[in-house]
Amino acid sequence: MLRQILNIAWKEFLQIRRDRFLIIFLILAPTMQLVLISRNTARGLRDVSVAVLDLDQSALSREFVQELDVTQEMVVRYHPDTHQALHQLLDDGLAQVGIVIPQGFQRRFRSPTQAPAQLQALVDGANILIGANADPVISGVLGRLVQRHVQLPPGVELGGVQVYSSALFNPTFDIQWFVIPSTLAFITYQVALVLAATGFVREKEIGTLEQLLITPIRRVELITGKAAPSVVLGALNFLLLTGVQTWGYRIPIRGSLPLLMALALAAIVAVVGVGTVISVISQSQQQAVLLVFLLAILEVTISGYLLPVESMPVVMRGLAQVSPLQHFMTAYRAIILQGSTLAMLLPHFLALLGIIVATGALAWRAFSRHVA
Amino acid sequence: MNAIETHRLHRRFRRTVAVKELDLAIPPGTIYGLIGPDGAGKTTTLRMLAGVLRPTSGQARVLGKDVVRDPEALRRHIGYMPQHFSLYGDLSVLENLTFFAEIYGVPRGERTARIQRLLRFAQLEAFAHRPAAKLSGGMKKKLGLACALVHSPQLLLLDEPTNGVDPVSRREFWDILGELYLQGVTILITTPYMDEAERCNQVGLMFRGELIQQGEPDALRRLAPGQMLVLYAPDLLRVEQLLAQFPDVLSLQVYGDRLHLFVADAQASKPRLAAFLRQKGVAFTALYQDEPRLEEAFIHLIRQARAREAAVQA
Repeated sequence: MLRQILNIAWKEFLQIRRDRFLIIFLILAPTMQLVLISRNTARGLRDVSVAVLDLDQSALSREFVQELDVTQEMVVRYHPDTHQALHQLLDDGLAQVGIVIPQGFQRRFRSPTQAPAQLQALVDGANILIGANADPVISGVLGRLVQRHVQLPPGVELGGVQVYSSALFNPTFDIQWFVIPSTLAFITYQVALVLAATGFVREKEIGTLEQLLITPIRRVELITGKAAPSVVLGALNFLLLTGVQTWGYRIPIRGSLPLLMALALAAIVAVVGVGTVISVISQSQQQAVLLVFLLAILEVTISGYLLPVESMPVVMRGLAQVSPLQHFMTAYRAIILQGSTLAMLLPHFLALLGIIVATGALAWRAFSRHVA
Repeated sequence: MNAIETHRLHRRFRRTVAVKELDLAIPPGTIYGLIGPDGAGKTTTLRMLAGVLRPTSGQARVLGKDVVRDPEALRRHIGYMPQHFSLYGDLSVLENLTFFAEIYGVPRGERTARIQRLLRFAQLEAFAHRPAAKLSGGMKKKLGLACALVHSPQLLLLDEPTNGVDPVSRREFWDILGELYLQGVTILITTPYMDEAERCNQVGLMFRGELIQQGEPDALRRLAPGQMLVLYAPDLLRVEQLLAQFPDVLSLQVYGDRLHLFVADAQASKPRLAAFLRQKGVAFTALYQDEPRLEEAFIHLIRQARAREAAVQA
């Protein structure tokens, strides 16, 4: 039994070693993806082009523009003279945010008892990301101006309540701490899935499966032997990415390392199980890759990567329970950021084990039918 | 005991009957050639005998073992080369052989010696480290055969193993089969080439899933209708049209640049045919009697079967 599995697995490794493209796919691509995705998604707005129509032309309005310009999020690129010119800049897409500083901005600012000072911000609503994030940036700059210029009598504080929030587990509320581990889990998932999904069907395509079927090898041995290298490679890929995350991005692993490894192994085996089922039922590698693609989109949607699982409609929440990516991602983040223990994560582990058993049985059945 | 014995072996794919109540009995140490047009059911028969495809009904015993009940035990003793035999193109000749030797559980002690012998046998020694994908068509087939032989099977099932291979490589391939035959291996081979069928001890002709004729090649050859005359003419088409009505002609087949005419008595018909063609003013360059080959008998038998089928339908 074990000898036959090793025979098949050894042959797979020989083949993989010859496949330069696959090696690149396994090592270079995931690392690059992790770096690129987290670089781009993990930092919010950056260098958004802003046009300011300054009708006040006061010391304070110039100070505001300067403050805005030095933020990471925004660059003041244009200083139009008229409303029309401002709108033109927005229409042409040269500026994504337009700000109008009305006349009397400084005067009202200094004596807020009359009418409050106002600012008008025009935001490119087509890009929802800019729209939602521009407002806090502008308010932040204004807040700093207020602190600097409005002298308050001793003992009097501005505003009624000072909100003081502090993020648990992620002291600086660094979005990278969420995005990088999630991306890592997704890439691990994707690599293991593609490897497993193309394994069987490739033999079907080149015709060697028929040849293997007439050897004394048993189906269980063949399925396990084909799946084993995907698990090993998936695990190596996971270790590589976790290394990049720990030493490259300095994201700590707060929980137990053995638990983390156990989780990764369970998740990778479960994903390879799903991939094996895809591979057995597909007639061509193309079909298999399309199925993987379809599944990946679905899994990302329900994994909690885009939207917390708790906020999903009931049906999606149900699907999330059978999604290996969801269990992997959630438990992975919990271990490294919150230091969760096995007892806390037991449901995720049990779900992954269930997926392993179910996909194993499915692959075996589908394979038996193929031979009939 | 026969090496292969089937009793009313039957296989249906949805509505199509691929193999129809086939009775085969092949004694050990035979080279049996299964011939027939495409879709006759040859591949299906072989796959059932290899235990890869389950019969719809009927029995098949191969090397005394039931193919349905005991396929795994059977597989240790047969070598099967499917029609679209494929090797791992990214593995070398040696790695392919080693892989199959391991899968078949060839003892480690024997493995190296056996693989060396097979490499010599298939004349692949010089290419042992070449990736299989980089072999010529003929060499690939020989490597395929070597892989199917790695566990020294008593029975070989070969599905059109020489299809698309050049004549020299085909001859080499058959030299190997000849050696195996001398060693007592039973071989069941399907082939589209009639010259290969003539090298078999026994030939079975399949048509629409049935075995319509079976026997030694010599016996089958004699099933061609009457005696054969060969005729060369510049305007073959016209000659064919003219002679199709001629009373002496039982059957005729265009064969490249010549016409094969079947008549009851070649010596008597020859002058009559010549006179007829001259009278019609049709030129011909040669007309002589020749021995019919298996090919002519085969075409005749297939035509007969088609005519019978048409008559049944009408």
